[in-house]
Amino acid sequence: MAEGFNHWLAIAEALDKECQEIAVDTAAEAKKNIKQRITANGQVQTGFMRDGIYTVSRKGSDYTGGKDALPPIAKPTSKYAARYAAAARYSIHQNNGTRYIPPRPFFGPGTERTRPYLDARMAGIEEKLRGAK
Amino acid sequence: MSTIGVGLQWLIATLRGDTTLRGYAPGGVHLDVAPVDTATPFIVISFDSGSDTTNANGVRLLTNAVYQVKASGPASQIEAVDNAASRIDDLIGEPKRTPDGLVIHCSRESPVQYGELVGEAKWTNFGGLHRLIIEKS
Repeated sequence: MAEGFNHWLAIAEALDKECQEIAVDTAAEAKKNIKQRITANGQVQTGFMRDGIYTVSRKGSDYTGGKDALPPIAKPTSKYAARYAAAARYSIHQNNGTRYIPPRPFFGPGTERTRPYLDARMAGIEEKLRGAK
Repeated sequence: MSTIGVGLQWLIATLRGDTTLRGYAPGGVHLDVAPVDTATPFIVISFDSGSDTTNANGVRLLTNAVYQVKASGPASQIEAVDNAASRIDDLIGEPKRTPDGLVIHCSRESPVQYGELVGEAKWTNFGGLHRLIIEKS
C-alpha cells in the first residue's frame, strides 16, 4: 500500500524557505543599490550615511549605530518580510532636500533599481521547487 | 519633451492652477528649491526616481516616475503647511486617470514629513511621494 504519491511536503517546505530567502536577499540587494546611489550622487564625506544603510529581518540586523544614528527599526513580524533603512540622522535631509539644498534622492532610486531583482527571484521560484525532494 | 519633463509640467500646472492651494501656500510652486525670501508656506516639487515599461522588443511605452511634492514653511505656520499638504493630497493623492494629455495616472505612494533647522528657526515639511504613469510622446 502506498504511503505517499508525490513530493508535496518537500515542495511546500522548499517554497517556504525560498520565500524567506527572497525577502532577505532582496533587502540586501536594495541596500547595495542605495549605497551605490549615495556614492554616485557624490554624497560621501565621512561614509557614515552610506555605511549606515542596514537591513533587518527575523534572521537578524546589520545595524551598527553610532553617535549620529537614529534608533534601529523593529524586526518585521513576518518571516516572509525584510526591511532596509537609513541609520544616519541626516539621511532624510540629503534624500528629500532642505530649505536651501535641493533633494538628492538615493532611497527611492535604489529601491526602484531593486525591482528587477525581485521579479527575477520570483520568476525563479518554480525552478527552485523542481529540485525539491 | 522628456517623459520626466512632461510629469513635472503636469504637476506644476495642476498645483498652480488651484486657487485653494494658492491660498494655503502663497509662496507658490517651485522646482527642487524655492528662491531666497520666498513667502511661506511654499510648495516644492522634485523628481525622486523612476523606471520604464517597455514592450517585448524593448521599445519604451511608459515611464513610471515618482516625484516628491511637499509643502514647506516655518514650524510656527504648521497648520498652513499641513493644510497645503492636504490640498496637494486632494489634487494628486488618489489614484485617478487624468482627463487628457500624456500623464495617464497619478497617486500618492507614501507620505513625507520631517523637520529641519533653518538658521535657528524650526521648519517643517509635509507632503508625499507621488507616482505618475506617463506615456511616451
